[in-house]
Amino acid sequence: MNVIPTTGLFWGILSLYVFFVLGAGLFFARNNKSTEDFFFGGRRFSWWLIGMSMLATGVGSHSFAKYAAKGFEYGFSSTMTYMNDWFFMPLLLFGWIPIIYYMKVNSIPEYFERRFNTTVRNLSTVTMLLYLIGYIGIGLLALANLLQPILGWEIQTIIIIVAIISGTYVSLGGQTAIIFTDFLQGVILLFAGLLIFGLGISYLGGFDLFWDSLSITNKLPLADFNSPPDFNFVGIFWQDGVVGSVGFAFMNQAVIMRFLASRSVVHARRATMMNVLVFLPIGTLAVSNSGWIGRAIANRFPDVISESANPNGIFTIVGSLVANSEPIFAFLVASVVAALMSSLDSQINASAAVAVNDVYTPLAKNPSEKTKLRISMFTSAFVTFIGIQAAFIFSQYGTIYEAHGAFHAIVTPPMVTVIFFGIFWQRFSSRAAIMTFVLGSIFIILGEMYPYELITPFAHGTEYIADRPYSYIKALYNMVACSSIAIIVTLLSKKPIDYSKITGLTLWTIRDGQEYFKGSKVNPNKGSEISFNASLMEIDKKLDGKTVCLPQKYSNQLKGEIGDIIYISDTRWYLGGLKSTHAILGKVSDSDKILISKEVHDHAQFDFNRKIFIELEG
Amino acid sequence: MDLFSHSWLPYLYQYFFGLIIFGGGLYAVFKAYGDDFWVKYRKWIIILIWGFIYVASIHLFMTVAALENQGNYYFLILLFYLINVSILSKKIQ
Repeated sequence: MNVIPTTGLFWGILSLYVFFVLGAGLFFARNNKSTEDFFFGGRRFSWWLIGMSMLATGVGSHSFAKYAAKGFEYGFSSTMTYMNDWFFMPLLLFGWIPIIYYMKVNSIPEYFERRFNTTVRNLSTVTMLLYLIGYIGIGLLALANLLQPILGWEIQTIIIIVAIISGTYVSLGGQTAIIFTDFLQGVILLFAGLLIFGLGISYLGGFDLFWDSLSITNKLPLADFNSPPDFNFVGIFWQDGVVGSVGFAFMNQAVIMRFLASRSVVHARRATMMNVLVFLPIGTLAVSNSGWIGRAIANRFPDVISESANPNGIFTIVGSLVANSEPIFAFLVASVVAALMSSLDSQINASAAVAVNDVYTPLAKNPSEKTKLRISMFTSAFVTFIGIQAAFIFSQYGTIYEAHGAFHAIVTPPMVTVIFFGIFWQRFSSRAAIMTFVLGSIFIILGEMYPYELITPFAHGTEYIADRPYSYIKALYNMVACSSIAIIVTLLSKKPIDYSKITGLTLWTIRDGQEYFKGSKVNPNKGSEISFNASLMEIDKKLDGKTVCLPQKYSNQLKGEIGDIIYISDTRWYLGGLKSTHAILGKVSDSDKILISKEVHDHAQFDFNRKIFIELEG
Repeated sequence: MDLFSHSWLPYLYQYFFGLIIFGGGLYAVFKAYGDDFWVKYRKWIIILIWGFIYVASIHLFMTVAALENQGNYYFLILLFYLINVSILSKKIQ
């Protein structure tokens, strides 16, 4: 195997980056006082921070391997799965996000218990852990494939080393570390993606030469409708565009935790909008363009990159070719490591959240916060270990794309169907949810056993390949099977008399969610934000919980009522909410000082020589 | 070479089903939130519809650029993207 030559400078830059990431994890670990901090960063971050960290989570290392490979093989159509997420936005922004935020749902299994029952929760916990651990395994495998041309080591060795590094810093840092390092990694990733594009264009001699080096089919943004079997539009539309999009936005625990780490529902919506409309188009360019550059070079200079080049490693091959300088090449490789870290850390942390909230806590019965935090850290390390085993299993598949496709097609459809019907159809019952999981899985297995008989009617003319039947379009069959079971069983079940137990948990009762979140009637008045010097604040040890008492003039300005939820934060926007917290408005203070409880201060860690603002949550 | 199955057919298929999913979702949200949804969330609804048009337009420009072999259309796409960033940055503050 050919190994790309590197020197000590290359390894020095790469190591520096890794230590920087580890250091950031340790630095932010100081803020973890509870599992809410560890998993949700205290629910206080601004939209821009959340949006960028969502991008870094979505654009994982497997993206560099998968989409650059497809860009090399098929051209601009490698972008199509990044540009079709908008269809679900009304339901996501005004259905799912307010439900999970206002109802304080910590994990998808927890939602299932509250919406249905314990059996559905247990079924979903197993599915969710499989989904997340599978993601960790795919991420590890993808990075190993990308680094192998440089390291020349065995894939298994690379998997173990990167897993240890990722697992360590997530176990120590938690969600706050992830959000901040993800933000940084997101920026690095976009910059590196644009850099390789610029260098590639320059290598080819300008944009016109790049454009002329590609065929018309290379330049079309969508793949051919139903051929070839390994990359066709209709299959990928249903697998990635529909099942994958719903799976990622509605079911992926790491993304759910980003929504919950936002300072409010409005900020979670803003983050999602900016992510899809602003960050993702650059993200798709960043992950795909090395493949396009590789294709243009292969078409123009076949002796430099041959047709037989391994598409999975095309990023590294193109990077080493166009960088023309070792520090730049090291930076490009570091950006891939960043992409791996940012998706792996999120999935590891999310797996730990599910394991602690949905497995440990119900079994241990009222464990202390300290014990839960310790278990969270231990679990992060443990799921990383299991993720290594998953990566070893996936490495037996032919390509990463195939491994990822097989994993998605089997695990996702029943869960996605239950979430979707659970949110949007009040009548969808617990029995129907259980049957969707159980019978849906049976139909999926039958589809795997008899693909020609069962999936062909859904295939839209896609060619049947006996050893890899209907890689993508089987997602449509699986969705139709699961949805049919959900609808039939619900219609055959007795219509519930009242829906009071699921108030706030479906789209149709969403307006009750805000009241649940607050714990009392929502205050319809909204005054203006107040700002003041932090020196005006005083810690009052007599105040319970997270209480803040305002003097009369500020109380009038805010138009708040006792028991209202307020957001109190340092005014420096670039902190993104790191020094902030939510609190409960107490009675009007007799003094001129703004009285805050010790818990408020401990959580927000305000600097007393800075400016602070308070606004009503709403 | 007939490129219909590689260009307009997937485009029409994607935005036909996309419109059903998007429109169905918007309709469901309108029904669930009641009469004051438009009044309370007008800005968000406009951005949602704008987002749909924006994504469909990007694919449209890319398809035309490929079929007519006009690389300079990508400068228009870039301009369109920058206008979008500018609008969103102002509107969602």
